[in-house]
Amino acid sequence: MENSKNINPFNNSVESGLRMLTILNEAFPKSFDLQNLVYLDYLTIHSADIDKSAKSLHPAVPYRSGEIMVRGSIIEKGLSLFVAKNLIEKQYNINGIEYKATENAMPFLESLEETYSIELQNRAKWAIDKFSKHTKQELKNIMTPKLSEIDNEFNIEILQ
Amino acid sequence: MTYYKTSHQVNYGKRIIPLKMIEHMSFDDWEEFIEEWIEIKKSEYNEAERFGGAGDKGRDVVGYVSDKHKANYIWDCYQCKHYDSALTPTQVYKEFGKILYHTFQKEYPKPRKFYFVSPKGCGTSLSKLLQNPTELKEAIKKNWVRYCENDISSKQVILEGELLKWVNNFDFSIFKKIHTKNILKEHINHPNHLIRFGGGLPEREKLDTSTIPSSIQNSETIYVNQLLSAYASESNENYKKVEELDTKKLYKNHFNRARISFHHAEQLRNFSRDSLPIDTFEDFQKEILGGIIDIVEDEHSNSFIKVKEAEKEARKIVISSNPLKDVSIINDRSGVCHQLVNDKKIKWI
Repeated sequence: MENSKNINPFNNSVESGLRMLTILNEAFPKSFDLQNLVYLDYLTIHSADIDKSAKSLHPAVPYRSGEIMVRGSIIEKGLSLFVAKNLIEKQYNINGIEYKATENAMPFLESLEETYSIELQNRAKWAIDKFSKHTKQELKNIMTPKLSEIDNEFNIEILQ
Repeated sequence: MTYYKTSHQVNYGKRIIPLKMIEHMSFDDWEEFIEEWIEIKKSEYNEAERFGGAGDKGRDVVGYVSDKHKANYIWDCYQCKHYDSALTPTQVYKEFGKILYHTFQKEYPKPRKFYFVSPKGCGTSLSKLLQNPTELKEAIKKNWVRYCENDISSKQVILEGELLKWVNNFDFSIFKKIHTKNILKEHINHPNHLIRFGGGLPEREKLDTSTIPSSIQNSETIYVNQLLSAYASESNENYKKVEELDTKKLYKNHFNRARISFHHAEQLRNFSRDSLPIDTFEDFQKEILGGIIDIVEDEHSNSFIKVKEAEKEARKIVISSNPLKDVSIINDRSGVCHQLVNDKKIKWI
């Protein structure tokens, strides 16, 4: 019965899927495609990168802008897991494949009590209130200059 | 990671958290569970009442904050819904409708708050509506014809004229939900919580013997007098008061031990009352009574010997199934003997 396979505590399907669920639940009944979710995910966990007055949920590690590139597949796995649990639904519509929270999403999230989950819900609400109306392209335009700024900051630090 | 298997696992399988157990409760269990919760909630209210069934006018469980016989009393309404899935707006539109209609008819005042209570909680759509009173109002108005018009009263209720005005001015922020995890947190204080969800008894506090009042309390007179008579039957003297034992070291020492054990048993009774169903402690007493009754009924050369024999036997009794066995100490056993005397179940003389 015991599973001997080691699961990475970070960037696994449960963790990324839970973040997706939290974001989709805040945005309900809106649905988003994968790329849009990748942006919203970054905004949720690194809110201070975009808005200096906000405090990021995750630490500001160097070169975190790369997360945008690599998170896609991790997030997709998380989405699939939560789709299988009937917490997220996959929709095929004119925009392609989009994801939406199900009726079970809210009661499930409300049963969570750890500080991280509650903080996550607050940040997701912030990100959705601020950015859910933007299109993918608009989000990209907002984020690209900010992200290169972040990378430069770190490069300058190394040079000093 | 591997684990040692425990006998608990073999007997009961994997432990299921209470929140999950609730999801699988039958309708009857759910009702009972809610009633127990209401018993706990009663402390917040002047009075609690359960309607349910036909003619409840949309009220399921009601908590009155002020006297329900006075006009415009303050009350909270709890709507308990048992469905296999999370509640959706279409399942409950008529519940909103009933409250709107019957308050419009002045059959009861507007509730202070109206809560949905459901084992699987309120679904995402309903929760979003409950968060946004303006949207909720619009949704109810839009769905009135389909879900309310013929479903909230024996006659058709059309949303127009004065009723429409009433609905437009209604404060929809009174409609809320309660998550089962919060009900559970309150239910913990109910004596049935442990037998319903398991989790083990809380720790039992050590009795601080200095808190036992030095003078004999009224509630102690019966067993104290019986003990005095038992000592008297051995010494052929007559003791009316405990102070008279001061010179009789043997009796005095026994009396002090007996009194402390009585208070241990009393403390166990209080402990049991707080965390277990009412009859648990009585069953514990009955086990002891069953173990000592023959000794009590036997002939002894004097009553003090009878007391000591009964106490000795009580300490030896193996209690195998009563949940209190895990927290009870030797002193409780002899203490129960004196409780039984105090409750007039047995006599020393």
